[in-house]
Amino acid sequence: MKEFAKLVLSSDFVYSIFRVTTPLLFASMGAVISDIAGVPNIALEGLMLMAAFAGMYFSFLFQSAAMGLLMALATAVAFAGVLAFFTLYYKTNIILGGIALNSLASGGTIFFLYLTAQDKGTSVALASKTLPNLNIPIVQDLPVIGKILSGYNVLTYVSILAVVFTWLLLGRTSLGYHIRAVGEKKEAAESVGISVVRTQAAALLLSGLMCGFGGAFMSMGYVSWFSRDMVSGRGWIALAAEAMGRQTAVGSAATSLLFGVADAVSNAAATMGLPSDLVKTIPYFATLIGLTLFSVRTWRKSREA
Amino acid sequence: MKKKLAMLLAMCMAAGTLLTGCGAPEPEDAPQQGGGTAGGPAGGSDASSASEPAGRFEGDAADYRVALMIPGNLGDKSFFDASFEAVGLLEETYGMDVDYVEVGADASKHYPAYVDLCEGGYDLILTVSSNGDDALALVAEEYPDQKFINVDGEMDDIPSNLYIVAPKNNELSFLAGAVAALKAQELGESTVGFIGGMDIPGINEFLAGYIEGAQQIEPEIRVASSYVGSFTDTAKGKENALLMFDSGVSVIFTAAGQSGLGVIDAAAQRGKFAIGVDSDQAGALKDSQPEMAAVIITSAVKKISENTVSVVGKAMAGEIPYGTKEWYGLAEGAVGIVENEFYEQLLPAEARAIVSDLQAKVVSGELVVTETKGMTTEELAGIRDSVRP
Repeated sequence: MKEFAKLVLSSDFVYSIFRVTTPLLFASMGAVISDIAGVPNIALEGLMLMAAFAGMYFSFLFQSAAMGLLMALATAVAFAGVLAFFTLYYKTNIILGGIALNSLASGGTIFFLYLTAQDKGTSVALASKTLPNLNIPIVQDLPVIGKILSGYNVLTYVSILAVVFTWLLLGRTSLGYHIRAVGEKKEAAESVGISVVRTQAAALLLSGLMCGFGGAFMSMGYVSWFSRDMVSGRGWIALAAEAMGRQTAVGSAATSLLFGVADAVSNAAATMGLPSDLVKTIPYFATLIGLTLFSVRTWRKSREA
Repeated sequence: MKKKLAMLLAMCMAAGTLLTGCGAPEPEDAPQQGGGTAGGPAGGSDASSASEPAGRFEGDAADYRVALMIPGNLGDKSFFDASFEAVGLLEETYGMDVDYVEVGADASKHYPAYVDLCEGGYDLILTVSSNGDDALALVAEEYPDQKFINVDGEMDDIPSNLYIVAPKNNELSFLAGAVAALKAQELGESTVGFIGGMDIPGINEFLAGYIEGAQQIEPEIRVASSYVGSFTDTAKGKENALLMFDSGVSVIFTAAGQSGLGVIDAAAQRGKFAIGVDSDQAGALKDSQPEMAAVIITSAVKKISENTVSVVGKAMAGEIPYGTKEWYGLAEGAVGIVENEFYEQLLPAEARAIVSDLQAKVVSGELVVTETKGMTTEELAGIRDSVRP
């Protein structure tokens, strides 16, 4: 138990939390933007997987991490575009479209992995590039804080910016207002001249962009290769985080972090031989309590009114 | 308009499913063999059923028809890839054509795959791992004349037409434990690590053997152990390993399939060491990821392909006691550790001598590695918890 406390209180553990949280943050921001626009994107998992593959492959092809990141983003945005095209112009059900994208991603990435690396499991045969860790000058030399604030993968910093971006977008920009209006009541938005299709398409593309970052982090930051189904449900967890965060940027970021902390703690607990399965239930348990308190409050309010 | 959409969507999904299946050749459409009657093994018609159940194969070895059913996915750089090597080795050794089907881990696909193979007129159907056991038991009953061999498995009620090669997982990880403890000793440490895929008996066997091997070197050794909870989540494997390395462990033995790659990556990143499993993982990584290969002291391997060749040879000679399982361990030369250039670089000669001495003792029977098959979960957990740091 003392060992466990030592591990959890070390700066290494803080790194662990942010490593685990980074892909969740990106994906949950992607979920927030699309959900608020009224087009819930459940293809986060698949888009991240495709981006992870593209990042790995193009960074290998061009021997450049920047090129890999760019192509990861382009791939995710392009496939988000496919989803937007079918749902907005052809009025496919977005959930069906999302399912199609997810299964396409799972099978398609393995197919291309086999084409390029002659391997159906991992891409370790291709020497792909990774995105660097960032040591912030001056800050990194500060005692304690320096160790906690500096030295993360560059995408971890970007993920925090992504939260700020989402918050600003939805609360401070005209596109954000349009997204919210369209999600709230399409007809009303349309009546004042907002293009529903264009706004929802923008939201889906932005959502794809977020997944692009998340996927790139998986194959070019977290580890240095692509492996089949490597996103391992992180896209779905992000959806849950978004729902628990009640579709706000800050709330979803907080629940993502909660999931991240719980995941990191359960990893640490597993290392120490504590029953890790039990620890993994913490975020769900916390959410349950939170939701209960919240609904009790709403109920009381409604009775008073 | 809607119809068009539905079509497009359906195509999209169909593509998704199709693409997954690509790469593995399907078993060729039931080639009708001259002599063998449909579904029956060659020579089945005149084999007197009672006295010699196995039946000797009289023809040329090149005509012996063998298929391998893989209830998992290739490309794990570990277990299933190791079993796949058997295909090439069999073809090379006996000049036979071996068909294989890569079915995947989805249990609902195992039964139809087996039925296809049974209808394909093979003399022998090989399989590997316990993944497809349920389907295997069912199919073995439905096709009583078909012979099956599981080249790395475990089953309690063995059908009379199935033979099981049961590798002593505890013996190969015994040597891995000794290697880990020797490395820790060299570094002046008293703890070694283990990361498994899941907290299941098959993996805990590795752990038990590992602990025992480490204790041979240093009776007071501590063994930190952890489970990824997945055989495919490489990122989580890495996360677990980083935490373990940061807690002061320097050598980790990983029995976690693909997740183990994350452990090796973590070792490379922290300048620590890893011991691989099932395949020569350093050999597999040395060309593309030299910095990862350079931290793999050795890999604990089951010589699945070599075992398969000898077992198929016996099957052709009619010497296989179907309906039973046999243990294959160090003494049979069926398991061991890889002694490559990395092993020589990373472990000093005296330490290597100690390891080969231990191996010799197990082979001669002077030293008996505790049997882990049949141990209860509580007993295994007891062993695990008694050595935690």
